[in-house]
Amino acid sequence: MNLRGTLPTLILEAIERHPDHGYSIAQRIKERSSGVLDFKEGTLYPALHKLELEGTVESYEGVEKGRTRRYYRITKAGRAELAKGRQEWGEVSRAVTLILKKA
Amino acid sequence: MTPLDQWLADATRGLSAESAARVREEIQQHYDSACEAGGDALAALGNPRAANRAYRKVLLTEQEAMMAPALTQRKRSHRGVLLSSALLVAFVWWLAGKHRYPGFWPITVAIFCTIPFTWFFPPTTLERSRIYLYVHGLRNILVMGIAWWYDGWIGALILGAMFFGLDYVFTYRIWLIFRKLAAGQTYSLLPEEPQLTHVEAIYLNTLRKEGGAAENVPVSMLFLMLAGMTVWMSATFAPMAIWTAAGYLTRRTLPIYTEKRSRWLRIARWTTMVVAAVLPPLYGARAPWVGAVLLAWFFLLLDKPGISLRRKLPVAEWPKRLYW
Repeated sequence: MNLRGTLPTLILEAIERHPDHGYSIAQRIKERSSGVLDFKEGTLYPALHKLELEGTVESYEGVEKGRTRRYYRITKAGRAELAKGRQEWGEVSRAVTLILKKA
Repeated sequence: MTPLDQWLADATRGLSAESAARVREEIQQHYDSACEAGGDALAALGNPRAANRAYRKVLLTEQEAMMAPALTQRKRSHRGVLLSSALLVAFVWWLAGKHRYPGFWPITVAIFCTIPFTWFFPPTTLERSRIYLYVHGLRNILVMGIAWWYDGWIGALILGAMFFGLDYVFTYRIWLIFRKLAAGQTYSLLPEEPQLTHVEAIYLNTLRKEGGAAENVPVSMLFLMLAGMTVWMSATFAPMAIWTAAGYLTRRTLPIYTEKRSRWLRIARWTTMVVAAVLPPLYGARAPWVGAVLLAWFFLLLDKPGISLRRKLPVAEWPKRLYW
């Protein structure tokens, strides 16, 4: 399932607790949704760059197992955006559930 | 070329050198990790063209990197202000001779009212470019309003589509470049050839890459534009259209690729350009020379980096495009 428009919020959620690199972010989103949310990994990085342009994430270079990697961490503006995204998704999901239950 | 190299070539098409390097680095890291974990790492990346479209929105493209130094280092030039004022006045005078309906002057003033601001407060920062985005949006609504008052909905919609389209291409693009630069994206400051300026080096790079199918699109657009203008005002634009078409055919059919032949071709080009500008008034067309001179000025501006490149580069290093 590919939920268009939710990827930025899912990325922010994935790096909320600690910074991470692109591959790990992609795997975490897939694992936490038990494989239901699937997206093409090539579109993850443009989404990360977009978040960087908006100032919701920052990137820096780090080393993991002797290999240089680019890590992404959430900013203060990113936390506010995540809270807003969670609230909006909660409202949308409640509304859709209500409609589908009635049907 | 490995399948990953092909994927990267498609995904980085049209991006600046720095943006392409960053994409290659992050995708290579991702691919290596995915291969270690097992599975089809390339299929998981998805369609490279879709990735390319997404990357172009968020990373500096080659064209944007070419525009960036001119935007960030723009200095106020009194000569430029005087010249553009003279051209603006000439253009408005020329238009005034063509149209005689009551909405002409209010619409013209509304269209050009923001130009004097760009002389003294050029959009050289992210904040200023954002202000211009709003100012131009308001100006376009004003232009549409005036056009609606005099011409009704059709005039308003035509002008609205034209000016919002132009602002999407220029004003929005300028703001997008500043936004990308503000996020720490860079473009090369040092040209490969030390004698060249940044703009000349990038122009040379563009000329060296010429020849693909994509380069034919602007040429066909230019011909379409010239054909439209010729139908609209044949007295002014027909000689110029013939001049452009003849130049285009000459360089594709005649063996002009030596220094001497190239010089003669350029002499012939500029001589016929002057003739093309002078010809319409000679056969009695009503004040069309301003249009022809403006068009000639536009072609000269297009040719300017090429003129300085020919002076600075040895002939052996000229790309094909510099010969004409």
